[in-house]
Amino acid sequence: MTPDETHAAAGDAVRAIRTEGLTRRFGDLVAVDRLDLEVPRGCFFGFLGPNGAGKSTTIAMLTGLLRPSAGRAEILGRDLAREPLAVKRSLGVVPEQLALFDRLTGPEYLAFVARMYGVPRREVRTRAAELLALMDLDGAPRKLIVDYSHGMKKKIALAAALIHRPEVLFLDEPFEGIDAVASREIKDLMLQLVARGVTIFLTSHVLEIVERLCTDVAIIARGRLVASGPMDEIRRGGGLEEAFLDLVGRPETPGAGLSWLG
Amino acid sequence: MTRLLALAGLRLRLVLRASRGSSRVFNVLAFVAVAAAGLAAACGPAAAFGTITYMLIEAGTAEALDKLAVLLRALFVLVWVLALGVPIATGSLDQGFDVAPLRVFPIARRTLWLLTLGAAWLSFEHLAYLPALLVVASVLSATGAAPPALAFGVIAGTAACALAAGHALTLLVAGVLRRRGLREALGIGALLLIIGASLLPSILDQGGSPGGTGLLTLVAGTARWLPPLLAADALVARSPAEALAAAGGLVVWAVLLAGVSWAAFSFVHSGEPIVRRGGGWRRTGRPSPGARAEGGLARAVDRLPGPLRATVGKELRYLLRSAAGRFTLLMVPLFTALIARGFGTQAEIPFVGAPGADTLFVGLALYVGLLSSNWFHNAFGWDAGGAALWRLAPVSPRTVLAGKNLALWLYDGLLVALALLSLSLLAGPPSPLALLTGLLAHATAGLTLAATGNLASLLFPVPRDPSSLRNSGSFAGTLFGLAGTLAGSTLVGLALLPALFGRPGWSLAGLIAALAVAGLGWTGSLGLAGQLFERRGERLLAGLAGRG
Repeated sequence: MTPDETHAAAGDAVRAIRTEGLTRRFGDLVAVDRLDLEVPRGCFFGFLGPNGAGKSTTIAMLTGLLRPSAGRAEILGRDLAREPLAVKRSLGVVPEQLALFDRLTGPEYLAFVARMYGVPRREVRTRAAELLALMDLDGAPRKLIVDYSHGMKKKIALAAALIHRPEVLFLDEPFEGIDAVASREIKDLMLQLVARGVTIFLTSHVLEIVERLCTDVAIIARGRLVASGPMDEIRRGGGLEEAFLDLVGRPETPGAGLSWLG
Repeated sequence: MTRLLALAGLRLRLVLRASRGSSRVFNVLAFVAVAAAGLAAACGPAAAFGTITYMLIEAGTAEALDKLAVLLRALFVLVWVLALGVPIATGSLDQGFDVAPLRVFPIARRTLWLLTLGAAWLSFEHLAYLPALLVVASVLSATGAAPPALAFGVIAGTAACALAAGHALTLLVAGVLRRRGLREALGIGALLLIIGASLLPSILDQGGSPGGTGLLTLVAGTARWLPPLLAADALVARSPAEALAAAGGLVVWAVLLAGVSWAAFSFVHSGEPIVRRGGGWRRTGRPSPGARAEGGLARAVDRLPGPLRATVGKELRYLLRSAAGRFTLLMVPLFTALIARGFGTQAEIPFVGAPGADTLFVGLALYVGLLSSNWFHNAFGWDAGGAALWRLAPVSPRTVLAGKNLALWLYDGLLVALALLSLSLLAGPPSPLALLTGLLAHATAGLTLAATGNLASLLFPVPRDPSSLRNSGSFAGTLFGLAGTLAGSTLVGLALLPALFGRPGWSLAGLIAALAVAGLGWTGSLGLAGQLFERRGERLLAGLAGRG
């Protein structure tokens, strides 16, 4: 093994996600523009940006939902384009638009997802039961997901993302529409997961949550990476919101452009 | 007026944009083809009604005029069956236009009511009967059998009554039955009732029982004060006074039903929005007994490990929990029973002779094999947002498609078993040769549908509501589905031809060859569809999200 290869292998061992020039175009619109990103293994990574910045598109590319127009992505040292199935086995995903088969009950859905990820049959029931109990969804085992509330749907999606014990967890706006109690439970669970070595890649518009949970942050604006690094570096001694506004641009005075508002 | 125009513009945009997407040109062409087929389908019966009306008027005898009265009653009853039965049977309780989101705007309730009436008027159930009514009114006017004002007035009155009644009924059902399970059960029940009601006269007539005849007489006597018979009576009245009385009755009904429609609209839209998309009206607590009953088959598959069987288990649950899947399960044995008892096995069929249990089974097995065409040709439609999981999970597209196909074949097998059971109980079991022939015909049709369906599912995905029986596929997908059905039935039909000439053994050999051809086609399509899934996965998800 050459020194370069040794160095690269060592890098793979400490990096969960690495992208090089990752780009996605929709017609003339460049949603993500040459994104170079490195996410350390076992970190709680916050991926921030204003609306339409390219956060969800990035997650969709990193999880195989969207193909990059250019560039490449590696997850846990594996190239996503070359080894998609091997990469997907190690991922858990809660997309913004929850991908749920809502005509199944909660236990049926978890069992289905577990089998899709190759969880041994004898473990499926145990894991599903524990996850349902953890998410407080075990009270209505025969209820179809279509009849769940929004918060319950978020929880079952999170449970499904965890059932195969993923090494990297992608969460796109996991707290949207969740009440305070459920939100607290989910935050505690995420911290436990990170403590056990799981890498979490999180997007959220709620900067307070990101500031409290995440160890590392990247900020994207108009498809381009504008900052990336440990939380303390990005905050530069101040708050995350101030740093975020400095990096992506502050809004004009509200209502200043509305002549009819008086 | 500005608001009304804005709302009409919104409605128009929604209709036009339903067909947008990468295959826009093809979709427009397909729309024209489907619209032409629909127009022909509506104009065919209209021409038949018009011709028969003209011939009966020209005959001018008392017997002919009696037959004209019967014909017109049948026509107006058909109008009402369509207007009341179709929206409920297809689960289209908002009749294609949910105005609940518009309630946040300062729009008068009356305007919204008129808007929903207008949207309802443009739906299939009302447009379907219009040509026949117009043709009959024209014939009656042109021949002088009825004054034009009366003829067209009665047509307008009937349309207004049917529209208001259908509108009121669907609103009340939507408002009262908020539970999804009840709503689905009602839809299935209504459709079965329509099928049963349409076949009841022939069954009673064939039985020739006095009780059956008495029942029909009682129903006819009571129904003469209802709008369909009032309309017919107004058109064939023997005196102006009788015509005016019947037409007056129709006007009273129109006013009354418009009032009921308004009241129903006010009732439903006075509180929280009720009509929602995607089957999520209100929580239902737990699956219905039917949902629990279906568990057996799905659980049996689910016990086995692996992504393929996980997919089959999921698909079976979806099939057996959908309104269409349950309806078909109920309909097949009932339809078989009606065929076996209602029409008997002794009636002569051209080129076939008396069908007997053997021919009936072969025909039913093929028919049942074609029933799942919608599922085969829009395999991801019922998954909607969940379809993203097929891209996220570490599973090959071929496995997903094969699993979906396998589940449908198992479901179809269940349908054949039900048909066989029903037929055996009522007309005797088919011979082993007929059983084998039927099963081969069924399998060939199933393989052909899967082969074309796998491609259509990826090329023309359309989100479907599992709660609804309405088949709201894309125009292009509909054409593809028709082509697949035609291919399957042609393949089987060619193989069955020798049997019509007394060579059942040749047919058996032909079917085995057809099965092999269909199998090769399916294997090829699976590979091609797998590649398409990789290439068009993003478009598939966008299409299912309504952004196609």
